Amino acid sequence: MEIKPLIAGFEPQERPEGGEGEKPAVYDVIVLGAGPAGLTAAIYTGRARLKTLVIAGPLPGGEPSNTDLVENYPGFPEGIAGMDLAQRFQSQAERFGAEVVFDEATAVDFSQQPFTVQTYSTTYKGRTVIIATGAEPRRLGVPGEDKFFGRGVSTCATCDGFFYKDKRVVVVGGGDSAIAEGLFLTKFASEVIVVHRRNQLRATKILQERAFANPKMRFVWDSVVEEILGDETVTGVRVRNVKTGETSVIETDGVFVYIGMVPKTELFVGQLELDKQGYVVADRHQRTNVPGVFVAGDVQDPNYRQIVIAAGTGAVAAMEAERFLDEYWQTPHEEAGPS
Amino acid sequence: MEIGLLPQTSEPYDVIIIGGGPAGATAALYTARAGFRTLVVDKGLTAGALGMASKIVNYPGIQEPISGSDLVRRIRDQAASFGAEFVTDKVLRVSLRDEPKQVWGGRGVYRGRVVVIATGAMGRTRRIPGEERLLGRGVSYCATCDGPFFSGKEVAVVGNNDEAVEEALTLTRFATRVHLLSPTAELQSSPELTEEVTAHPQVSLHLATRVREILGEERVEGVRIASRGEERILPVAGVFVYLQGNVPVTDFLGDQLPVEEGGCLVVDENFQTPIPGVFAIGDVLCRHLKQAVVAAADGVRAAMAIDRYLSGRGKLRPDWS
Repeated sequence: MEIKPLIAGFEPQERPEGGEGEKPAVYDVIVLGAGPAGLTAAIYTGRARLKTLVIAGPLPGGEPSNTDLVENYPGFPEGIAGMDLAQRFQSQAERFGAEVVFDEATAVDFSQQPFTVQTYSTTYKGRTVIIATGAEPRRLGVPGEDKFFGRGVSTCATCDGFFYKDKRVVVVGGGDSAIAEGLFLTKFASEVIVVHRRNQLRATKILQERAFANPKMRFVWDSVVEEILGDETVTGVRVRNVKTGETSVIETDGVFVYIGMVPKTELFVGQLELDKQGYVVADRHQRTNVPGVFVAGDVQDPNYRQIVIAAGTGAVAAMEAERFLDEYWQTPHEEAGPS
Repeated sequence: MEIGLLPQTSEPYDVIIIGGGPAGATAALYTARAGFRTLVVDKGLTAGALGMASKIVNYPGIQEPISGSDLVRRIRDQAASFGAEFVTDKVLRVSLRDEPKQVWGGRGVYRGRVVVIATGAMGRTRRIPGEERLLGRGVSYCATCDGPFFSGKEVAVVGNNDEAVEEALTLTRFATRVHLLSPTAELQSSPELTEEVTAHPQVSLHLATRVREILGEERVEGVRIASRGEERILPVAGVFVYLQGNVPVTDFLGDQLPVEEGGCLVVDENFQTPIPGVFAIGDVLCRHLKQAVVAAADGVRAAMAIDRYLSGRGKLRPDWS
């Protein structure tokens, strides 16, 4: 039987690589963020021959590029290095004609068509915007954290784990990220001490089993970090037991913080509906409250934070953007249509 | 990873997934990796919409053109590497309110604490005249189950895909002659299967042939077929139907689950149906675009809800709360 094209106006041919000429005055689609959600959206809109710009933002590649080995992204039976997967998303988007710029949005205006996105270097205009700015690790907000951030306090074991060879580290948190990254750190550190504010982990069973079986891992339950200690370098953390109120000091050379994420939505305050945690509110078609502005990935997802889910929402957002543009061009406008 | 007939006394699986396309296989990858004993019951690698696709270039992360069946195979291999088991079987009936829940296939009964329906949307809307009336009286959907009843007789197989061809080949072990009735001028099965069935001495291939009616009073006595405008009657004792369409495959559910307009299953935000412990994902739901990556994402969401269901945890909460 014949398989019908799944997207309206979807051409089976691939767009020729590169050489598309001048940058358009107004893009069909501007994607903010170059993680799995943003780049998947760009793969779909690029392939649908919409003029697509991806503004990569501060972390090109998104969350996967911070991950050592991704073993649960469907389609890679042997697992794939996070960096490699991020690179594959990007080159696939570029191959379909999306333009990826390494710049960062500093302001947006969604109040009128075309939408405006200002960056450090220039201003872009787009008929639709797909927000895929992601979320960043939540900070502890305790004394010593700012002082030592990047030199003893980290939110990225993949980036910084290597510096803790034969040293002792503290991991704060009890979810999947804390335990997975803690396990990763046992490759380097002599001891990994997990400080968790509850008396049991939230991480999935397989991770818990691996963690409890690992002789390098130790657990400090019902405890929160109150201060990061040290003069020149981190020497310890002061923790408080939330049940007894007692405080104690754990000696450590480094602190890795995995206590959740904060969505990157400062730019959209006042322009888009956000929930009380700051996540963009979306319907199941990935539409925001502003017609023509769509959202995908961790910036609208406090719960799952999985690469394939981010990618799935990116695909949905892209198709909705395409549908929006179809309708937009079918209604009369004062200006000329797309060339 | 392929398993044979299951003994009835075996421990129930934690999770049984019906359908091994991108949604089902991804759910299996996640539930198996989370430590749950997982079984996927599937008709075969090329039974679904993705498996039939010849070239895919927009699955994120794989830009080299890949066939749908290769992509499905990669996801299944990944699930198997975490311990998911796969059995090639066709599900005929389920009992979803039992504990454990029961899934009847042509090769055995499978029991599980959770059932996931990921059967896709290649079901038919229309039956052949006579099909329903003679179901169980010569009309069948399962050669493995019913083939032995047709020893020494002639049967017809209606369809053109891998499943139809495989079932036709199975039936040659019992029937004296198998008439394979393909609605299209060419078979849509894999080259190997096409070659095997074309060369088989007991198979008569009828291309570009439609079945107008299944005939018989008490039992099937024949089929009225049309080819190039000419109608004739082919006397057979059995008719095995493997036609495909584009509606959700839910016939094996009976009326155990409600369906909405278009034949789609109804689920909540966690992909759970009105029966606790029964989930539905992928194209069997009407609410999303038919894209592999979107179906796979459904599989992950359902798997994470299943983790909570089986471990008795409450609603989904963020990682850190």
